[in-house]
Amino acid sequence: MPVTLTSLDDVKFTVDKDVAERSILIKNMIEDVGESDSPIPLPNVSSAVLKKVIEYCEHHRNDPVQVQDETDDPRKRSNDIEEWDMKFMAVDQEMLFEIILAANYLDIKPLLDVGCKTVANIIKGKTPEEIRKTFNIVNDFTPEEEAQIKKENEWAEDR
Amino acid sequence: MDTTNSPLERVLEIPEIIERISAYQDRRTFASATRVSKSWYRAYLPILWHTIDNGKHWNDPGFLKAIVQHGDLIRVLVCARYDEIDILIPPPKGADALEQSVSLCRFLTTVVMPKTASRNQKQQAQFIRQNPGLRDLSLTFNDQLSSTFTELVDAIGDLKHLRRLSFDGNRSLEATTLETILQRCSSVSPDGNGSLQELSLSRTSFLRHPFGRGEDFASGVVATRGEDAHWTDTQNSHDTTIPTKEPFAITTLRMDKVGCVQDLLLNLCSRFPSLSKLSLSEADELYYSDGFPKRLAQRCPNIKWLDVSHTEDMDDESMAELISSFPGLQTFIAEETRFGTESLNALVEHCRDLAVLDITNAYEMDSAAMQRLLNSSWSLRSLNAWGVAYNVIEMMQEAHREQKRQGGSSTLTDGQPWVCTGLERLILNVIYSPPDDSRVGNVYPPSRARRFLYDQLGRLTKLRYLALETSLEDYEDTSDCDGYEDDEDYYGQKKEVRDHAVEDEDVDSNEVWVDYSFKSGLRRLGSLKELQQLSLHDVSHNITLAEIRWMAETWPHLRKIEYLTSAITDQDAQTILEYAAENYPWIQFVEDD
Repeated sequence: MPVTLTSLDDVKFTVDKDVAERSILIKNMIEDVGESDSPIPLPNVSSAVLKKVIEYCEHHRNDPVQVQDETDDPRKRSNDIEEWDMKFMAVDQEMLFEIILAANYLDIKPLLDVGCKTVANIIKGKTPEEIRKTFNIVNDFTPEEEAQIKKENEWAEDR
Repeated sequence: MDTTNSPLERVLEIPEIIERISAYQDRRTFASATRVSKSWYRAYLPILWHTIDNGKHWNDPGFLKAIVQHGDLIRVLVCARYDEIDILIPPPKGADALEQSVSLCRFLTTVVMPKTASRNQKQQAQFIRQNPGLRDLSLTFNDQLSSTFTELVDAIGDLKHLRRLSFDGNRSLEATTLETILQRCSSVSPDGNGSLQELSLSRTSFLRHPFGRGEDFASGVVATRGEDAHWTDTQNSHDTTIPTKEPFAITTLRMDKVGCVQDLLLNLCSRFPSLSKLSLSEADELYYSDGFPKRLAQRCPNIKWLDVSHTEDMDDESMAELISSFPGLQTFIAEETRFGTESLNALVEHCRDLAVLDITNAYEMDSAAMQRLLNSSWSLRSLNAWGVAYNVIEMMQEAHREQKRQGGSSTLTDGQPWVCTGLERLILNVIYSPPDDSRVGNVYPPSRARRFLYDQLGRLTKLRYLALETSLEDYEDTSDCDGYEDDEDYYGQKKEVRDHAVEDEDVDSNEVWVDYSFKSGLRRLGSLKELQQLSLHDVSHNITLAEIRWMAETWPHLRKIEYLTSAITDQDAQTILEYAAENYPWIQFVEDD
């Protein structure tokens, strides 16, 4: 039973129901509406991003659905990412964060996790300046402000 | 470049996402992140301050200055025993009781307080009052009797969301104090506040303690012993009916590393009829009499989770009685105890819902009893039976006996199969040890035993973690056997890698054992699609590159293999590790504990 999803920019995507239901948001919408041919609108997700999300869901369509208590304790999560996911996440930064936002909105926890792990790995061990360079961020602190914060958080840098 | 509405900026505005990202990072990274830009500062500051648990910071003037500004961001605060509470809340000025000191933290959910003494009682009380969202509170009453700390007890009683209360290591908690607190925080009545569900009294020696044996605390039935009996004497302990008191909503009781007599435990538990989780691990001195299990079950029939690990006081028979008194048991932890065959039989006979069993390093056990467990526990999800070697021959014999008992029409030729197909975690030692009677060895040669084990394992399709140590003890094959290579050695010596083509199972060989090689029957484990971790600890294995390839391709969720290199030559190990690093980078090879 196929399902049609409509993106922010009005592009329609037809996918199998089990693929669409990797998104808990969509799953709940389908349950609420019942059997229906009308497309499901996703006004928060652009077509480029939706295409990627669908690609992820199709590849992972047979994964076991994650049980609630497994994902709740962050200490139990491992830092590794499987190969296909690594290649999938090798996109430009804008797309990376758009995927994270979409996974959050659509409630696809495994995809959100992979996205967050990817970002965490990028930031790990970098100085503030290195982080700025990586993401093209403008430093809007005055030198005094930045020095103040550095002093304030010095205790946390110590391990 | 205007980045104000970039995807990154939008992500920074969603705390749940930043929390998820931060779960994979350390505190140094948080500190670094706060300096990147203003929006990064706003996103990461609460993360940085969420948990403060390292006492040495109190000595850092920079930290002390910062906590004044950001104390309200702290949610989890762990103080060391001798920390000064003055830092968190100034001492009251002068005799004016109306003047309230202001706490630096007001949104804590979890706190471990510094030592409670009469000197700081007022401050501790005020500190608690200013953190009305507290869910988890740990205190130690050390010096004065707890009944002198009325302000503090009052403050605790007013907490509306307290779920967990700990008096670990206390020396002066009185039964009346506990009664007062529980009446206010753990009431079962619909109008009352029943938020408190977990109580911890670990690391307390109750043997000469103001709490006494809790006789005034008990309800419905009180456990006492004769007047002249020595305080450890359990012989005269008996139950006497008394009026019932209001029960409490406590569902979890932790009394790890305690020293106490069973009467105290019984009297305490008589107020907790809803108790479902009881931990007595490492209980130092816990004197039991024979009737203890039944008396406990009478008071707390709903116990489903029991931890008696690292205790010596209960023998196998007593433990069996304990188990049979709680047929609803789902989790039983008895690591390093005298758990033995009788206890195992009791589990099989009484506890149909058993899901988690840890009997690491228990005493010697009947292998047939283990087979019976695997044969009957439908709900079993996790089994750690490390430390005792189970004889697969006896297991197979039991499997056949069971098959006969059930009418003998199983499609498997190896008797009644394991039913615990929901098993996710299995840690087991298995040996092949034929009895002196060679007929038995001939009916159950190693080849048959090997197939039995692989077949049974193959049924465990939900398995995620497997650690199976197997050894073939002193086996001499007296039957006809052709075609075995002389230079193969299956007793743990490092051997040459076979880089010839993948081999098929040698079904009939009695010299091949469960060593995860194709020859032994590895392919029978192809159904273990959920397998994530394989531990080869102490296993003499014959894994080559071919087997690794098969594992990576057949077990899509495989992420970790432990102790691979300990049984192969360094060169082979290098070959495998290099190949795996390039082709299967998501599989970790771990060698240390």
